[in-house]
Amino acid sequence: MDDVGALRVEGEVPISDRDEELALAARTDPAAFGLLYERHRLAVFRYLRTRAPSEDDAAELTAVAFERALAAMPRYRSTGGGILAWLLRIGRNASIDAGRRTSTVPLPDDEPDVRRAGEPETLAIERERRASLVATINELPTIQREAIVLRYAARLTAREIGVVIDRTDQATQKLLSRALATLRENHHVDD
Amino acid sequence: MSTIDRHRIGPGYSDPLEADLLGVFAVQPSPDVLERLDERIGQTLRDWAPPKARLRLRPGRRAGVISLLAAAFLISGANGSLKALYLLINGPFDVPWHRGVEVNLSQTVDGYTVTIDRAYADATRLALAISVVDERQRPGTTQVGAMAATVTDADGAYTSGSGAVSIPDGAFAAVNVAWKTPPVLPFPPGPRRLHVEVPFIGVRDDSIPPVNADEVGWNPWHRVAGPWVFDFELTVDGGTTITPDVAAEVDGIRVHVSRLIVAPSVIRVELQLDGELPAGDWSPIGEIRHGNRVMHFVLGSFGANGTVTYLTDGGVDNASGPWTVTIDELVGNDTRLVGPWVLDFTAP
Repeated sequence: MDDVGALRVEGEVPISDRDEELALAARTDPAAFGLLYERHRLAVFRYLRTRAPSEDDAAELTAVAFERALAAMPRYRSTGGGILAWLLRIGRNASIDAGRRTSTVPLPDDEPDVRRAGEPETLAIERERRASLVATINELPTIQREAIVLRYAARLTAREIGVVIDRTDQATQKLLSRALATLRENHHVDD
Repeated sequence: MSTIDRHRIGPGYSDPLEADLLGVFAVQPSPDVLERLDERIGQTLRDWAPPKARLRLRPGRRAGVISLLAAAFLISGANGSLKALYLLINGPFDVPWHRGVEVNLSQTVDGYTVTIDRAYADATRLALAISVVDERQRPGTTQVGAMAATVTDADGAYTSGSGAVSIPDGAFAAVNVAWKTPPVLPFPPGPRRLHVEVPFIGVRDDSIPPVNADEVGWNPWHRVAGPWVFDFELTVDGGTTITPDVAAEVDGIRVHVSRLIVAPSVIRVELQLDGELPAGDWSPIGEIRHGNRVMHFVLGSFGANGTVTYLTDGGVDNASGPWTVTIDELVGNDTRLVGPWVLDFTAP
């Protein structure tokens, strides 16, 4: 007989599937929810940072998202895009409730790039490149910008993004392709 | 962007534009902001009164777990005590650590050290607490896991119906719990000489999903072959088998409980479904109550002729006393059949 249900059979398990096990336990177990929080807090924060005017506001939205998720945990079902997409959807709704209906990517001056290091000249060039890219992202149609943010801030797949923004896989993939084509056309990268 | 920066992004993102996009969004919250956020969520969890929390943690453990959780937030990374993470694994998975016996056998292959920290077995389950550490801390690695294990003794291989859970500690270490169905049920108590092989471990790279990840079957996990091999003796805990032979019927559908194997780790419930039930596999959603303990069905398997075997998210030490099995609904592929089917019986 094959095992069915929330738990997987032998082998290494992708992150999302372990999430499903934790999500099941998190209905009644705060420690399990704590692990989900620890695993996804940065992705949720990074996404909400694009929808908040400051780091503190983004942290507040992140806290609200996880608090709402905790209350809603018994209603979570594994169908759809997985727990991270579900958390981001809750976060998105929280930001909409807070009056921030569209995403605006934070400017480079506001946020450090964790990968950035080097000489001042290099950093200045880097900053210009980032400013140019941010400006191009912010010119995208709202839904395309949203898809780009979810993909590169939260690292979601097209299917997961579709769950957050209420689009089919194919529609999301088209959105991403169009957005990337626009960015590629308008943001010139020196190789 | 420098070549080094691009390499950090991972094999899927040599595209300069996508590398730049990752850089734009790679914002890191300030340490004080992150600390306040962690404290707030930690406090929320401490204050939380989950509807069925009493089912999950044994009395006195909850406070410890939450405190540890708060500490884990602050530790975050490979600097914390690796084995302390076992304490975060609850429900059916905590048994190997809290009840298990110390094994502490390690083996290193190609710089990956796998340790059997503890092991536990009772009438329904065999479980292993396994930690893995990448001693070389290879660049590009974001997570490791050691969840695959085969266990054999003179009676055969324990490979059927197995599963595992893993908690990473930074990029280069993780604790894992793997559990197995014994070759015979109930598994008789007494000493067993076990041979454990971890045939491979999982290593996750730092790539991120491509646009068409679902189509191309993108998977950042790769296997690193071992094996890591261990031999040790383990004494199997006991268990109680109950054959209540009770049934309940709702709308022409009959649920019959034929056998329970009650053990400290997990309860195995064998049901028979028949009557006016459409063809197909039906999963029961429900719980088992014994005294003030309530356990839920979490893992099931289907047999022939409407036989369903389900495992619970916890066990009990002493099976004596009244039991109630409640099936709220039966879930098929497209249909849900609403009960409840309630079955009461008493074990001597």
